Amino acid sequence: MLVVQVSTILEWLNRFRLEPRPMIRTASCRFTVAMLLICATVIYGQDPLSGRIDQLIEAKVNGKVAGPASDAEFLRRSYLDLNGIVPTAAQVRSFLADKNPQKRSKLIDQLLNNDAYSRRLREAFTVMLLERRTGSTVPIGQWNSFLETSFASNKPWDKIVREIIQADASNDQTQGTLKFFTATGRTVHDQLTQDVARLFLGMNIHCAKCHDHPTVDEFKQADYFGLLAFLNQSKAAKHTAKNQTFLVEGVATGKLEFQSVFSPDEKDQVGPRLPGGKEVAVPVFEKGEELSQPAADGLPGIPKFQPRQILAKELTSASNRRFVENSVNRFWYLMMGRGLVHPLEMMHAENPASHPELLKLLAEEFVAHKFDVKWLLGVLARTRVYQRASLLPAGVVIQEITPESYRVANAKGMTPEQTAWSIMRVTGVLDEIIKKERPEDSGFNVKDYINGRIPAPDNLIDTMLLFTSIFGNPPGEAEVEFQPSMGQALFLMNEKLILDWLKPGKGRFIGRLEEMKDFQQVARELFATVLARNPSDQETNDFLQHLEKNSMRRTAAISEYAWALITSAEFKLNH
Amino acid sequence: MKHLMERQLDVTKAWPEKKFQWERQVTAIQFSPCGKFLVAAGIDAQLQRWELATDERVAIKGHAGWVGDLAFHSDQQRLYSVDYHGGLFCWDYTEAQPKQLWSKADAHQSWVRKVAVSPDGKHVATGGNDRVVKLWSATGQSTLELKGHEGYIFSLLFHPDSKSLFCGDQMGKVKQWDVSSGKLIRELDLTVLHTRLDNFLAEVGGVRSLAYDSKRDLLACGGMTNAKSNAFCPGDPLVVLMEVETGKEKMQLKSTIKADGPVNGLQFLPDGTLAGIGEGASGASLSFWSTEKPTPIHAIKMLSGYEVALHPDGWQLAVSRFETNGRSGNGRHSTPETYVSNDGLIEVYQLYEKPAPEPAK
Amino acid sequence: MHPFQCHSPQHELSRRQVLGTFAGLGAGSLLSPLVANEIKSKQKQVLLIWLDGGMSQLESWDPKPGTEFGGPFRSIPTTLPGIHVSELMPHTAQQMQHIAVVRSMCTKDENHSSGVPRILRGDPKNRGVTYPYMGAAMSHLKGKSDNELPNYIWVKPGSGGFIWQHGGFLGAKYGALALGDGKPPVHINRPPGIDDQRDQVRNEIRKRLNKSFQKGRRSAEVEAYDYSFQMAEKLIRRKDLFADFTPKELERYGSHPLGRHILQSKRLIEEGVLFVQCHSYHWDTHADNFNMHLDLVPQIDKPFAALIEDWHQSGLLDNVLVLLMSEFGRTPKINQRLGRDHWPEAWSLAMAGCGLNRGLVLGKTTPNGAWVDDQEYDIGHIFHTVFKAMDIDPSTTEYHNNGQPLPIAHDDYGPIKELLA
Repeated sequence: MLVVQVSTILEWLNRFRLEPRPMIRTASCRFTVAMLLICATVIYGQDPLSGRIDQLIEAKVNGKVAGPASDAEFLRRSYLDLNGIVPTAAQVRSFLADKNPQKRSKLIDQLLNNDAYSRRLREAFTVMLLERRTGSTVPIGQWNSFLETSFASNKPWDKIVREIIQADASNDQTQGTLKFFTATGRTVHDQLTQDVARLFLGMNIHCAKCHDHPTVDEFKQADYFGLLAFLNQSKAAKHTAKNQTFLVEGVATGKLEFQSVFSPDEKDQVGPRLPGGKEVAVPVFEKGEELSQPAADGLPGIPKFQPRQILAKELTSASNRRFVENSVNRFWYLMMGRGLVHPLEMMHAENPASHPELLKLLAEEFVAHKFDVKWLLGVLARTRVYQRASLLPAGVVIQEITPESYRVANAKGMTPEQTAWSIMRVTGVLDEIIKKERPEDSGFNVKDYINGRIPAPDNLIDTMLLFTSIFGNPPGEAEVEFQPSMGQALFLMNEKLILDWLKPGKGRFIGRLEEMKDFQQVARELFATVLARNPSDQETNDFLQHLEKNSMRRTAAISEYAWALITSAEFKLNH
Repeated sequence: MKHLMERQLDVTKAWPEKKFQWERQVTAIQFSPCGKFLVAAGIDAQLQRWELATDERVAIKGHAGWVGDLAFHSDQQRLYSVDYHGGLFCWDYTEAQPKQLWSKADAHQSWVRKVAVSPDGKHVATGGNDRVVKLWSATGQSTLELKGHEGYIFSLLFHPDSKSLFCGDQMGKVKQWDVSSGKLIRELDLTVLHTRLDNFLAEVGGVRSLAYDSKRDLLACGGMTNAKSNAFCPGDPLVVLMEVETGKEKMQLKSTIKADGPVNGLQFLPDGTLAGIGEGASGASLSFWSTEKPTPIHAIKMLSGYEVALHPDGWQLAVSRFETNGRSGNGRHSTPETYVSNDGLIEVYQLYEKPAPEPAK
Repeated sequence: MHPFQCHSPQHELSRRQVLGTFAGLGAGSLLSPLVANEIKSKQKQVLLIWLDGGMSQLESWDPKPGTEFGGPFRSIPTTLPGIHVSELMPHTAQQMQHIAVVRSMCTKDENHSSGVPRILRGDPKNRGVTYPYMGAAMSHLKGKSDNELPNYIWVKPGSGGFIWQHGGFLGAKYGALALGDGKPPVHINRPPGIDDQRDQVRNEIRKRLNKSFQKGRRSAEVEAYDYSFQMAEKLIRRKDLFADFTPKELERYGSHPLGRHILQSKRLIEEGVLFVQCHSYHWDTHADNFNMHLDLVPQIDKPFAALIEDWHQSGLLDNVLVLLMSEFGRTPKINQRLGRDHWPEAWSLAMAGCGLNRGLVLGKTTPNGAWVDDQEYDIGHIFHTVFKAMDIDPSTTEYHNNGQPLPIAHDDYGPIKELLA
């Protein structure tokens, strides 16, 4: 392990043009190594926890590990992961030119504290928690506002989840949380139970509704019904005076009975109970005594016993190991492209984490830091594993490297949102689209647009709708793996809107390029804008040759080249 | 018999007095009008006749395919049954060994699911997969064909005045036909009991059961709504009460005991209570509704049920339901020797409070 | 682990999401050039029709009327003396002389989401790698890269897309091109301003960029992304594949989804696609099995019989292998919703064409239909047989994955001799 650390640290230091190699051969080897480690800490602003994470990862590798990503690759990756959009050409040039040895750490801080951060996390967790479910009971704007404000104020993660489960509509700030329960499909209690288990406990217990899970020993039918018992009294009701939806709870009358379809005579029962937790006793009240507040304004009375409120506390408790581990697993996945437990919803003994000690460490530390999301993301961003190059180390064959070894950075596909933001930015249409107001009665819908019945979207919300419908999954299907589709390729090839964006015009990217006289500069601008890096000499030559072949139609040729860069794998992949 | 005179119809106190078991699921049951017998048919080619006084069972054989339904003639002698090969049979059920009086092998082109006899004994009605309701004389002469249903016929019920016939179909329509002229009197919309979502391969649901209360002119239609698939066919059991004259829906009756299958059998009791039995993958219930509110006044949890029948004395309700035999579900989990079909069970409920045992003398 | 759901409308949808791994993926390298050439010399193709959920063998190929578990349906005679099928298959009964039915399938998995991929991957011995689906395997072993059309197309209800996971360890590019509702995706038409030449130029730039990016990086993602564009290009050039069907065709095959999808699959085969997989979902009749099969079986009977008859007449059946199957059959025992549950113990499938023996029924079940009464066949036997019919010798052909030689079908089984001429 020490050898690995030393060699990787050497490569890291090499980046910053320190040449300590000759010193290793002397007897003061250990001193040198200590200095190197201190340098690493200083240079990368490494939290000691980041170092421990790297130790646990590097302890398990069985071969060479890639060095750090280039500045350009690191810049683009952090922008996408923490801000949900590629950097501008100016930001690229500025970062590459910056000589500050702490620039990576500074960038991370910057990206964690700007507006784009909370927007990016809101987008990522909306997709994760709502899975593109729609529904008109609660406007998506209310949910977005709740979530984005929560991330902006760095609300602790356990509190965010608790507020979602509590679903308190009386408070303006938490009104939007109801969307978790009212989105299409979620009003069916079985679906709700399954989603709560998957998303907050890492347990896919669909099959355990009818019988103990046939292949996962840990997932029992009692777990399913125990969780259902917390949720099955919840339903939406409208407050007549305020004309607002509340998530109310009916009176729970007792335990839930269930039996396996394989042995319908063997009946069992369970009250509200988290998997691995203690069953909550369902109190029995005298008839007429069940409510703490009577029915009013179209809402049913508030029961004295409110299982969902109890769930909100128990689910998010620091002592709920499953919740904590699932949470850190998902934040890890967001940054690293893969969960320590993968698939994310299969956390059980027969599918252990790739690095069990690491999962445990992260869980403990997350609790110790009171579920601080920014802190956790900062720690992860400052690890060597996060900042690793996607290029293989010399002499290593691709096939040897598994994603869970983290010997190279795992490439992630851009999410639909990242794709939309990034394409809008690089083509230069972002500002005009953001400024365009969406009419109240915008009749924009993707089906009509695709079939040529209505004009193209021109504002942010409608444009996002188009992109997410093309690049996103159907409602209810998690977006975890990179799944490029031919339909998406056809969109990029033949969608008129994309091609319009690549035409010259005021403020447009191609417009700027066609005015440049120096074609080498055009090449640099193309690559910096679209791929967030400088072109190699070969790439510059390739571009120049393309321009030469098309000297009579230069603008179109530049547009073609820009299109190719945008549709390249290097653009689509967050590497 | 002191307790008999003092007893009151009270479904909340209903208790099962008798059980009859059969080696297959039983889907149709009726008490004979004389009150002596209970006859049942199920997913095999026989009927079973139990004598209530002795519990003795006699098999009635002759059908070649599954028997879909049976109905008694008011003459206290004849019994009609229909099968899935298109056959209509008529029996004298009163003999020690019931004997076949006549049969029509091709009464219909495919399954005959239901048979009904008018209270005045003049008409026999049959219906099934060929979507045509056929009327016959009591001796088996074909009289009328009632065409117009767009789905399989799932339920048949004569009006107590014997002048009209209610027919419920797969597509969620109930048509009321005049049995003398063959004209359609009215069509009731029960499409809430039918589901076919975009990705279904077949129609799911239908009007599976009917019951009529002439005092209030209420037609109870049983089935299920909101089916989610045509594979597991899970839905919400539902009974819709229709006011026949106006064609309007009076109320929707729900189940309080969780079940995911249709309400298969309905029967109004002498006091206006509605009894209904349902189906479910993990079990269902026998429910009793007062028809004043949507939820039952009493419900008894049990495995899937297929039919209910009222004894002519008005005090006893027979229910036929599923009975497990060995392990069910996917895959083998048993040996060839122990792999046998599930059973049917008929329970005869007494609809009054169980009398306290007489003190020993 | 494959997550799956019961009792939910997404049951079938989620089952099709196979969680492949891209651990250690690279292109499984090919066999020796000589063998490869031999394989490519004949123009054989495969059409796999998949009834997802498990069609009941008792309500189709192996009826047992009047028995304990037989159900209400009768059986009808066929063009094969002494052989009966369910009365629900009157059209297919007239084509049995062209078909080989295996009634003695006995497989290991009674669950859908593990069972479906296992069956479609041939359920080989577990060697820690994810085997490719049959279509991906065929694409790798016999596919022509210069073919105008993708080698592996999946016609299915619902949404389409490129399903790279079917490729298993062979690599993402062997995945399936799924056509939702058999239709081409939207955006198949180029907007004005981009002609063929410009499109080619811009795509060449794109490919150069991908090639250089891929150097020294893990290839699965780049390949998958690149392949989605390749498919797009090929499809744009062949819009004629998706013209409307004539009223006569729809009359003959049925205008219901499975009828249209079989028509579309037929057209794709006739245009030269190597492997077409045609899916129908919701055959998993745990409830109301008899009412449902009454309406479902005719939906396969009509178009399947039409297909066999048409291809026999045109001679295409000589070189196209047709396989009609599910992941298992249904329980003889009837449950409390008058449904049948999953039954891998004894079930049936049908094959036709490509030089297989025709007009035979192989294997029998016990009188009550519950157990195989003689030689049991695993899906491994079927894969062996399919490969052999396609002129691929499983005993001499191997995959090479990272230097590890791997059999193309389960090593403990072999081709079914009675099916091969």
